[in-house]
Amino acid sequence: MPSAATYKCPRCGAPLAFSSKTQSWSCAFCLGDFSLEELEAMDIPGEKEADTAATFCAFCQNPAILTERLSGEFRPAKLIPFRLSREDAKAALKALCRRKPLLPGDFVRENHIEKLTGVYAPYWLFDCSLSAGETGEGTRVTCWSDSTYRYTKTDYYRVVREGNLRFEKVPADGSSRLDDQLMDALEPYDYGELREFSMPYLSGYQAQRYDRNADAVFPRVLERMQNYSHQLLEETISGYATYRETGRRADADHVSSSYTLLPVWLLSTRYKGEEYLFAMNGQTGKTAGKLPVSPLRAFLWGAGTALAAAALALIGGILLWWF
Amino acid sequence: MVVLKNAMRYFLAFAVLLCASQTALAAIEQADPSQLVYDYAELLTEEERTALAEECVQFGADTGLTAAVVTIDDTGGLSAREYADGFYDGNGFPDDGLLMLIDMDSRTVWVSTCGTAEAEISEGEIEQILDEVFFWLPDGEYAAAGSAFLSAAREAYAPEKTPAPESPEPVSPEEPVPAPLQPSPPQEKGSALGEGLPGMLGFSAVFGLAAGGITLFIMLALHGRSARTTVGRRDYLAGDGLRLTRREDDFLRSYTSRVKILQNDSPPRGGGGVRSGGVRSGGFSGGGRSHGGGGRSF
Repeated sequence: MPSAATYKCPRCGAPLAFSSKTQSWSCAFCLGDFSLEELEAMDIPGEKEADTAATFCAFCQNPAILTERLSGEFRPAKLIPFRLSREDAKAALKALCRRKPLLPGDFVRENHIEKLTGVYAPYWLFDCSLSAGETGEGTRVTCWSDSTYRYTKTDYYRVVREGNLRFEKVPADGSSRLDDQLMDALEPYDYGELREFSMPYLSGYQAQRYDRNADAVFPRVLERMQNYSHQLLEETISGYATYRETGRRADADHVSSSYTLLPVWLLSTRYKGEEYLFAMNGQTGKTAGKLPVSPLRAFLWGAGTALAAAALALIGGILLWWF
Repeated sequence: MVVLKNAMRYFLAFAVLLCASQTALAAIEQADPSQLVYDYAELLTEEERTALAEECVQFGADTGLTAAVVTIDDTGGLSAREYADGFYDGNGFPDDGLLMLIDMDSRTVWVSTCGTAEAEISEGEIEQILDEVFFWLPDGEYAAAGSAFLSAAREAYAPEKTPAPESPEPVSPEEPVPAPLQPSPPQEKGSALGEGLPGMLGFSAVFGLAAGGITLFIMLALHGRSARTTVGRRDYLAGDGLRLTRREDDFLRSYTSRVKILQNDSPPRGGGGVRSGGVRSGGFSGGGRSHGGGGRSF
């Protein structure tokens, strides 16, 4: 369940929000501006105040009371703060929808776009060393001919490659509610902006905690790294006319994972009973989204082009016939 | 970037349509491959044209030569001889054959021969052919003149001479007969267009459906394109990357095969094939064959 925390301005008591532009916390009322250190030094009575106001769940749009905390095993190690604002996300979504003639006309509505939510999504970042190997058979072919015959000589080679490599901070989202394929499309994040986790970053945003732990998520990451290793190994094989792999392996060791929050702008849309998720990387602006197709528009485009093409072919044929 | 993509799309569509109309055009021409009678001067009726054309086909079957009859009332400044020779060459008629041109412009009849027809029919025999033809001209009986041309030519060529082993098909399949060399009067075209129209409609319909289907497919593919992974194997690779610990390329064995080189017996196809198309007034360049023939004014 999402959770949010609210910090109050020490001068006037109004809620503070994290500004992605200035990367600091600003008060809309007294125009105060505070850094992370200042906020952390503030003595917040008791636990951070959980925002119990009803908000919209970013995924199902149902109103939800936020009660979860990010503490104990659910306390993230690091996060990347938001760089892009809600306005940036709205503009990106509109731009995405602008170039889509098959989109239903009533999909992009202003009051709906307002529901874009800034969410810190839970990720596991894996560091992993791999020892990988590949064997195969390669051929080198030489051709020549004399006056009677054409000759083809094929030399067969046994190819072996083994090596070590290390991947760092390979991300995998730890929430079953976030579509993995969609989240993968938001990569890469710039880890140069990774910060130690601190509650104040979350003010003004929602945060999701993981419901799949590192072990549950690791197989997917391992497969990805194994594919990468295989590709890198095959890069070292060259000079053969043909190459055929006969075996491969990639073993991981020294695996470590870090629970990290990464910023995402999310908008969930219900259209004709289906759910469509739009996401934007809150740091780099890369977008990903599944958009619905209007059957009517699809038919009109298809039939229209068909008729136009048929007419042009007919006219072109007649015209060319005259000359 | 988006503009370029759109521009490319339109261009591609245009190019495809252009090619399509060419094939639509070809569809029409394929419908009438055996035309031997070209009555641009409109001296014959529809029935006479058909009858004469059938006689030409029969002539071809009997002698192995191609015979064609052309009437024209404007040669655009060319002599009857030039027009007849050029028409025969430029329209891809086979090497062995002859053509009679009734030129109402200069009021000349010209018989043009080519290949074995040229070799076997002497000038004197051409005069005999013209005699037969001219019997009918004063009364304007052009259909009979055409028939006379064919029967006289058949006699001149003489049955005991071995006909060239060519197929009676007068027009080689690879070269559909395009319009004559001069910009011709469009009278004949009406009927040919009528014949070709159903084929054109059918083709256009199929083409339209294909174009619509392809466009829709592309649009759907692009529509769903908003969730693409862009990271690759190097993005999370740490340090200096892959450190190879073992690298072996061990020679196993060698195998040599050989194939006997076949001698190519068939000689290259002889020249004399004339490329049709693009031959306009004055320029019967493009490999004109030698022609015999003779003519007479009326």
